[in-house]
Formats: sequence, structure tokens, C-alpha cells
Amino acid sequence: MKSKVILAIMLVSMLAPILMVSTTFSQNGPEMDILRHMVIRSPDAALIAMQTGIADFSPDQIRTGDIEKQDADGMTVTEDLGFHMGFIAYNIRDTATIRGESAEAIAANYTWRTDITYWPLQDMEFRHALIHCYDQLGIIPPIYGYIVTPVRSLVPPAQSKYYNPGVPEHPYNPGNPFTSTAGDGTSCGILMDAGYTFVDDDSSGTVTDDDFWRSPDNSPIPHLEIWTPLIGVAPTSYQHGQEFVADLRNIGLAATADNGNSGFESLGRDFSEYLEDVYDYAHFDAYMVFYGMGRIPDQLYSFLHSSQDCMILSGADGATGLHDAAIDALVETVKFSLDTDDIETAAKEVQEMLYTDDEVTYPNADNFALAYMLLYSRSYFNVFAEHLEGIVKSPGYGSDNSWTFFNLNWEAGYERTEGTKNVVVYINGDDPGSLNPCYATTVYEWNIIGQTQDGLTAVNPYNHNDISWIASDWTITSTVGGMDIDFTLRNDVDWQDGKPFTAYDVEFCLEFLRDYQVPRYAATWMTLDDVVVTNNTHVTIEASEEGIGLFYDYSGLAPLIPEHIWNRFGSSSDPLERAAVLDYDPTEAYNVASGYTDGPNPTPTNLFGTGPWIFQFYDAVNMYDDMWKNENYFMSTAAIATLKADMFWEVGDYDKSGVVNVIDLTFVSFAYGCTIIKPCYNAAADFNSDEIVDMRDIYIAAYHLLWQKEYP
Amino acid sequence: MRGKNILLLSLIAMMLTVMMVGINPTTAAPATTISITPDKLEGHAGDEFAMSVNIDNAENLWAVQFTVKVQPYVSVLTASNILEGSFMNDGGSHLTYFTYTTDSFEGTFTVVIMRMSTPPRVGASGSGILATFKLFVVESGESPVTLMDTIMLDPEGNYLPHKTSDAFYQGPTARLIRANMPEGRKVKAGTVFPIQAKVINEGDIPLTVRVRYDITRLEDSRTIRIYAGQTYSGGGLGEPLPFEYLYVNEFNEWYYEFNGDPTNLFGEPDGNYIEGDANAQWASLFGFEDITLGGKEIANIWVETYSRFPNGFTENVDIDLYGLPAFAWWGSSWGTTDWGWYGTRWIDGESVLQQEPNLANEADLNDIEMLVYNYHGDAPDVMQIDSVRLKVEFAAITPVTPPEFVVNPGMELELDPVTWLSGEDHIGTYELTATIEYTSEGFKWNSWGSTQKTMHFWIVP
Repeated sequence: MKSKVILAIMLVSMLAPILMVSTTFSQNGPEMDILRHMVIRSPDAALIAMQTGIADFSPDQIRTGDIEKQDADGMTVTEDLGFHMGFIAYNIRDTATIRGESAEAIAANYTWRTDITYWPLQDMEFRHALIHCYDQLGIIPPIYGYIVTPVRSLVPPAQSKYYNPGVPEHPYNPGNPFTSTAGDGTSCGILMDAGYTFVDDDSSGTVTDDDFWRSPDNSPIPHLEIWTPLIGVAPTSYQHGQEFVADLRNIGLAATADNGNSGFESLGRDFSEYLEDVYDYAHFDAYMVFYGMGRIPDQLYSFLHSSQDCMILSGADGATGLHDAAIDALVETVKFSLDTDDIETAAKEVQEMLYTDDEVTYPNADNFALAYMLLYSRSYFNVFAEHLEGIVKSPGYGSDNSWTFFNLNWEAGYERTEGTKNVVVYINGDDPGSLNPCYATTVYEWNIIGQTQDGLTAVNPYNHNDISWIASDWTITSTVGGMDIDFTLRNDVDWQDGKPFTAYDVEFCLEFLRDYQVPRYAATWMTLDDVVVTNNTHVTIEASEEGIGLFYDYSGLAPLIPEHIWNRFGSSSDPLERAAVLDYDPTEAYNVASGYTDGPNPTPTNLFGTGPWIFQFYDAVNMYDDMWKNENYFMSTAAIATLKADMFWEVGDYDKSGVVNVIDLTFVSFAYGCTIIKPCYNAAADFNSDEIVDMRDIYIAAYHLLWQKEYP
Repeated sequence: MRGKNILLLSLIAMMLTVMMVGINPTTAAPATTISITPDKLEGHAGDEFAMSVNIDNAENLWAVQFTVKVQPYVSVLTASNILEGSFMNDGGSHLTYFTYTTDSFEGTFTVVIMRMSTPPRVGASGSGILATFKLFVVESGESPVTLMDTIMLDPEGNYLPHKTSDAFYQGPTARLIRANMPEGRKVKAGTVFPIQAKVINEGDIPLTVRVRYDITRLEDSRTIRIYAGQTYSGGGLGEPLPFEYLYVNEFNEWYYEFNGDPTNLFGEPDGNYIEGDANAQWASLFGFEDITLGGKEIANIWVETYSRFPNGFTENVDIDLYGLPAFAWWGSSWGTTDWGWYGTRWIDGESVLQQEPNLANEADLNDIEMLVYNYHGDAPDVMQIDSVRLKVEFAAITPVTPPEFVVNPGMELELDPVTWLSGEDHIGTYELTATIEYTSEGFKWNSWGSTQKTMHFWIVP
């Protein structure tokens, strides 16, 4: 009897979530009632606030001891890779160029090494051998702990939509010069297969410091330096380089006094000095560097396009000397296309080419493959109180994103309440100086202002695909010297005071920023030619430049400020009036500009947009602000939940269980190879919706293995 | 529709699994086992172990997922060289897809291996190696090597029952034997009392050890963290930090453009002052009384002026204070119509020490000189200063860097005590948790293998 009761309970518990979805009362706006930003400046105070329950959400954790303490206390720690990566880049120019004898070198007045007769770094197979001798997983965690994650693509995982999880792997497998055989996949086997020969100089039968390798022209491998920062400046980077060369030494590829300095040496140098040598003069063998970047992977253009070769264009980012027509065409798409899907396709192909060793498919692989050996990407940490649910992680952006705030809620029985309202307390790292959207600059100010705002488009947090939001549709058309962006707007979006948001608001907002020359947005409004309104739901932005980044800027700025509040200044040609715009404090009590009528749901202040949270007040004495959920928001909690499930499906959640695991992969494997015209095709397994279930879909699910739609 | 059918089948399969568990809890354990070998490991930092994840008695296995977990935070072990074994691909004769993901923070890696073929699909059966990996020891400590979240599926996507078998790594560890509370656990405010801990090195190499006390006053949830060998002299529980004032007592004329004798600034307020009545006047250079730190460490330095604007306060006038020789702006002091002590404004950070971190030592602080600058103090907005002082606050806990103790293998050691100089504002009920932290490499302070000890004490009137 007891076992039946257990069965019944378990079945009920399985059904309960299903019932909840279908019967839960759906409200508009976020699930939490009040979002409070509390100013807590020091990490010590933030830790105490979390441990004592004063605060619930502590973003941007930087001290590992604090992170571990809070994790051990049962709080939810989220980790997300940043828009960041580091690599070792090789000078892959050919021997003649390195010696300053090629036409290109002569034209550029370039000479680097006249002491060599053969430049092994020009050879993809040599670089291939190097990467198999790089014990990435063995080196990185012991040096850096968990604050970084090994990567193998010039597009870091945080640039999610454009990251190619199917980049070929080159696992650590150095082999041994005495036992490896040509072509066995080890570093030594790859070298042998490519015509390099190992010299057991002391005839010891083991690898010693006397030994070295000869290039295919029989010359010893030249002395090659890998530059890293100095040990006193960046000890971990320095150690990283040393450990890589230590592994090279085990197979006879490190420079020693005994082998005549044939092979690699990791050398710590002043960072700015060696960057100058690299980027101003292309005078280097190999170097280590780290980059921060944005959402669009246009670093591919600056690193890879032949026009960016710093031998030709001093100061450009193209240090390696990579020249390839196919790569050029692809990175031009990445840089200049207005279609994110085209950018994605091109970016992913480039990433695969950069890590390939397949000279059949890519006969010109010497020109590009493995010129960059990727190291790691840095992670960022946020901490949430135990019993907070609905946290959404997003690569690059982290869990401190608008999707988290939509569904953030307390586990039943553990609510923080004030009266009947649920409250969550967010730690803001400093007090806001200005809450004027035209002037505010700090992240602490935008932590508040941003919650009142929405964009015309939004971002899938899991893969960074663009999704419709206030705009239900849009097209971008190239024009002579610029682009036209046509937005179709939803007709059910209101300003937070209840006035409808229309195409005329887009026109007012963008032209206001331009006419009053709001400095913060100059890079955008300086490209604004005109805003043409067709009707309430259709508007065209005519820009004098084109670019996907500029599109995002317009999408974000179009609903920034309501006309009936901000149309209160004098002539925009008057510098004093322009200054008045920047000085305006919209946290004053709600009052519309002269000639306008109040909205049906007046807000407490004039700081409002169309977003999910309504600003109430900032208490400068106790240093906190309150934001209440926008109950008239155009999206309901249920609609947002459904949208999130659909967005999460795109990253491999076949069964929409909320986690990507082997079950999802297995069902994709069942449909593997099936196109839309075959009976075996399964649309649910075609995550990229390209009408075929193939390795791309498998890679999508595999890369997102163990990801969850929400945490914890 | 097909998708819905699959979903339905999955649900039914899940329900059947539940029913099996529920109806017959005494069912014999499944024959299929996933295990980690070797299952017992001993070593030290720098050692590397070749590991494998094995499967025994599998039947028709199409796909498998497993997670291997070691201690989190890259604190003892780290896994690398994760490679597919020969079982699922049948020694290379069957196409498989192999992938893994690592999470250094959690100390996990998760592997998925699945076969790839068109129907009829046949799974792998028998015993063999699913995957191999290496474990590298980064620091002293111990760690379970655990299999978790294992999922096995047959060629129809149904779950396959199985059990798991884990491994354990044993490295050098130290353990907290006891923590001694003050006598009777009740202390009268105003007395000095110790908190002492005893530890043992249970490893076979010397370990560097310290003991951390996390102490919370239950009445107000104030917390302090203090280590064995440190002294608490107040200021960590919300009460003021201990401090000392240093008044101006020297004048070495560089530029002096204020009215009044510069020595009027000396000492505590006495009614004699210097006065600025024109913009950009300088009064320099003033020295302060010397300080003797002894065992104290400086936590903050603030500058304050006893000053006033006799003709009324105006925001436009400041008494800018600069530290020489660095010419560091300490901030803008100010005043009202009435005499009083005023701090600085307009400056981020506020503390003099934040502007000049080098002043945290006795010699540099005793050498410091000050320049007073009259900013926009044109008549009639004159400003008057009677006295200037530095408020030097001392760290609540000293020495600031926790002491470390080397403990040899097998040795028990009574660590230097925490010394608490209690005061009336310390009265309350305290919960103390003592945690040992040990390291051999200096890479990570670990506590694995030792339990924390939590106890209470009271400071009473």
C-alpha cells in the first residue's frame, strides 16, 4: 500500500508543473512586484549584505573567496563567459617575406629575420604540431582556477550566435620523437609526416636539451620567441607561456643553449613594447595577447582581412600576415553585411577554417589555418540569494539581464515581502549621479534607467539571435552610402503612463537626440538623415551609414524618451537649451510638457519609458530606489515564459525540458541526415531551422550541454 | 505529430520508470555499472593520474551521459585530456559522437557519447571503457571522484537502469581538533580574552595552516572574520574604529598668503585662526604631530578642519587641502557660519588614505606636510581656520595579514590565540564557526577533510 501512495505522490508531482503552466494566473509585466536597488559600495559590505539577507542579488563578483563562500552557503552562483579571449598568434608570413625578399616585403619595406633559410611558422603542419603540444586543459585550470574557460575559436563563446561549437579539436597529444610514427596524429607524427626530422644529437635515445628538429630544408628550426607579459605584471600569462614551452621541450622543440637555441623560448617582455613591435612593425615570431570585444564578431575582419595586415597598415590588428581570398570574402560579410544570419554563416565558416588541418578541403590552409592558437575566455560571476528562481544566463551579458528580471521570483514559502508585495533587493555598486537617460553614463545609473526601457528589438539571451519586441518586423535596406530601416511596430505597446507608443514617438525620440545634439548618442544621431512615419505602426529610419551595430543602436534608442515629457525645451539651436536637456532631472514628480495631456496611468516621476519596471523614487539618504512592475506591460508572464522556452529550444532543448542533455542529442541523432522532404525529418530537432538535421544541429545541442533555461 | 508521439512515449517511459521504482522497491539492483578506476588514489600536488570511466554489463546502449565531479573551485584536482574510450565505438568500427563540457567552478566535466547511424539502430553491449581522462593534483586536500547525473538510453530513447561506483583521492590534509572558547563562555565586557584552536597535520608533508573564525553577533547579525594569531581591538562590529588625532604642530614657510599668524593653526581650537580673503591664496607648509603605531595598523586617515565662513556659507568657496610632496588633493573642507569641525567634500573616496595609500606607515605619515588653498574665497566670502587635524583610524584586526603556521606531518599544534580586547559596545551573543585552512603549494587554502566547529559565547555587561 505504501508503494502505491509513493507512486501517486510522484505522479502528482510530475503532473503539477504541467497543470501550473496551464492554470497559473498570467499577469502582465515581471513576476516580482518590487525591484529595489540598494547602494552598497564595497565588496566586504556586499558579502555581508548577502550573508545577512539584506540583499538578494550581488552582481559582478570579483573575489574568488567571496564567490566560494556564498556558493557554500547555498546561494546561486552564475558564471558566464565574457566578451573576451586570449591567444598566441604566429607570424605565418612566408620565408621570403620574413627575410624581406618577397615583393610584398620590399613594397612594405619589411624585413624581420634574415638569419633563417626556412620559416617553419609558414607551414600549417608545423603550427598543427604546435597545437597538439598545447595542453590547454592541463595548463589553464591549475594557473587560473575557474575564472577562465579554455576556448578554441577566434570568436569566443560569449558571441553566442556567431560562435562555432563545431570548430575542429586538436587534443593534447605531443607523442614522442622516438616512438611516434609519421601521420599518427601526435605532434611528433605530424612533424615527421610534413618532412621535419628529429635529431638525437647526443644519441641518448631520449629527448634531451641537446636535441632539436630540422626543417624540410634540413636547417635546424630557428630560435623562435613567444612573447608574453612580464612575470611581475601578469604572472599567470607569463607562466602560461612557460608551461607551453615546457611541453615543447619534452619533444625537442624548445630552444636551449645545448641545442644552439633551435626551437621556442617563452620570453616575458614589457606588454606595450612588444605590442608596438607586433602591431606597428610586424616584427615578431609569436606573441600572447588578450582582447575584449562586443556582441558582433567584427574582430574577425580586423584580425584576418588582408587589408588589415600590419606589415602594410601599421597599427592594424592583422599581425599574423594572414592573406587569403576566401577568408577575405567571408570576413567582409562579417564586417559589412546587414543580415545577421549571413554574418553567422560567414563567421562560423571562418572559425572552422582557422582551426582546420584539412588540406584537401582547404588547399590553401598554409595561408590561414592555426595562425591563432586560442587560450581562454574570462568568466564573470553573479550571486543570487537562495530560493530566488527564474535566473536566465546569457553569454557575454551574464545573468544580470532583462530576461532574469522578467521571471525572477521567490520559491514559495521563502518570499521577501512588504505588505502583499514580493521584493527583490539588488546591490548597486554606487549611487546614481544622474537618472537622465540623455546624460547618465555609469552602470549604476543605467541599472535603474535601463529597467524602465525597452528596445524595438530584443535578444535571445541564449544565442543572441534578434527577436521581435516592440517591433514585430523590420527590414534593413542598403542605400547609396547608408541604409533604410523599416520597422513595423506592435499596436499594443504603451508608455508606462498609459499613452500609446507609436511610430511618431520613434520620430520624436531620434530627432530629439539629433536636434539637441545629445553627446552620449552622437555616434548614432550623426548618421541620422531622416525619420519617415507612414502611420502609427510603420516608420523608416534613414541613416547615412550602414552596419548591424548601428541598427542595434537605433533599435535601442527609438523608445528612449516620451514626447509628452521631453518636448519641454526651447529651441534646439540654443546651446543653453541643449545644456538644459542634459541638466534635466526626470525624477521630478510626473508632469507633462506644456500642451500635452496626462496619460491615463500617471507614473510617480517623469523618468519612464515603455519598459517592464516603473521608477518610483530614489532615497538619497538611505541610498536605494524602488521600481514597481509595470502591470500594463504588453507582454504577460505566461507569454514571456513561452517565448523563453522557444528561445531555449533554439540552443538544443529538443524536448523543452529546460535543460539540454543527452536525451535531446539522442533525438537529434535519430533524425540525423534527414531533410525536410524526407519522412524522417523532425522539425523539433532542426534547431537552426535550415530544413536539414545535420551536424550543425548536433553541435548546437552539444555546445549547450547542461545549459538550463532558468537557474537554479 | 511525430514529435508529439515521441514526447508521449518519453512521458510513458518516465512514468514506467517511476512505477518500477514505486511498485517494487526491492527489485534487484541493475546489472549495468558505470565506474571510475582506479577507485583509490593517493598523491601530492604535481601528481597526475590516468583515469577511466568504465561500463560493465551494458545492454544495447545507444547514448550515455555522465558527469565526473571532484572538489569544486579547482581546489585539489583538475581533470584534463578527456578522450572517448573504445566501448561505444566498438573499437572504432561504429560511428559515434563524443562531446564533453567542463565546469572548473563546480569541479565537474560532463561527457556525452552517442552512436550515429540510420535504422535499424543497435546499441553497444558488454563491458569496456567509455572515456579516459587525467586528474592533476593542484593542491593538498582530499576529494571524492564521483559519478553523477548519469543517463543511459537505448536505441529507442528509453532509459536504461544502471548503478554507479565512485573513486576517492586522498592527499595530505590537516584537521581542526578543537577550538577553545573563553572560560565559561561568558566574558565580562572590558576584559581581554583568547580564543584558541588546536590542529593536526594528518598528511605526510609539512602543511601551512591557519584557522579562520567567522563570528556573528546574533542580536544584529554583525559579522567579523578573524584568524588565529590576530587581535581584535574593536571597530568591526559597527562600533567606531579606534583612532587618534594628529594636530598641526609645525610650520615651514613656502608660500603664506593668508591673514593671521600661521602658528594660529597649531593645536586644538583656541580662538586664534588664519583667514583667507582672496582667491588662490596659499598657506604652506604645515606639519602634524608624529604618531607611534606600535602594533597598530592604519585603516583610514581623515582630515578635518575647525573652520567657519563668518559672512555666511557659500558652496562656491572651499578650503582645499593638499598633501606634500605628492601634491595629492585630500579633498575640500568647508564650514558654516558657526565654528565647527568639518570633513571634506567633492572628492571620491573621501579618505586621505585613499588619495595617498603610502601614508599607511609611520614614517611616511610623520613626514607629511599640508598646503591649504583658498578656492574662490574672495571677500566678502572669507574663510577662517582655527585648527586642522588628521583622524587616524586603526584596523579593527591586527596584524591585517593572517598569521600562518607550518605544521609537520603527524604533528599537533596549538595555534596562537585570537586576542579579543572587549568593550561595552561588544556586548551580545556570538556564534563562532572555526574552520581550518591549509595549503602546501600556496595555490589554494583548503578545508576539505576537516569539519567546522560551531559554538557560542557571550560578552556581558
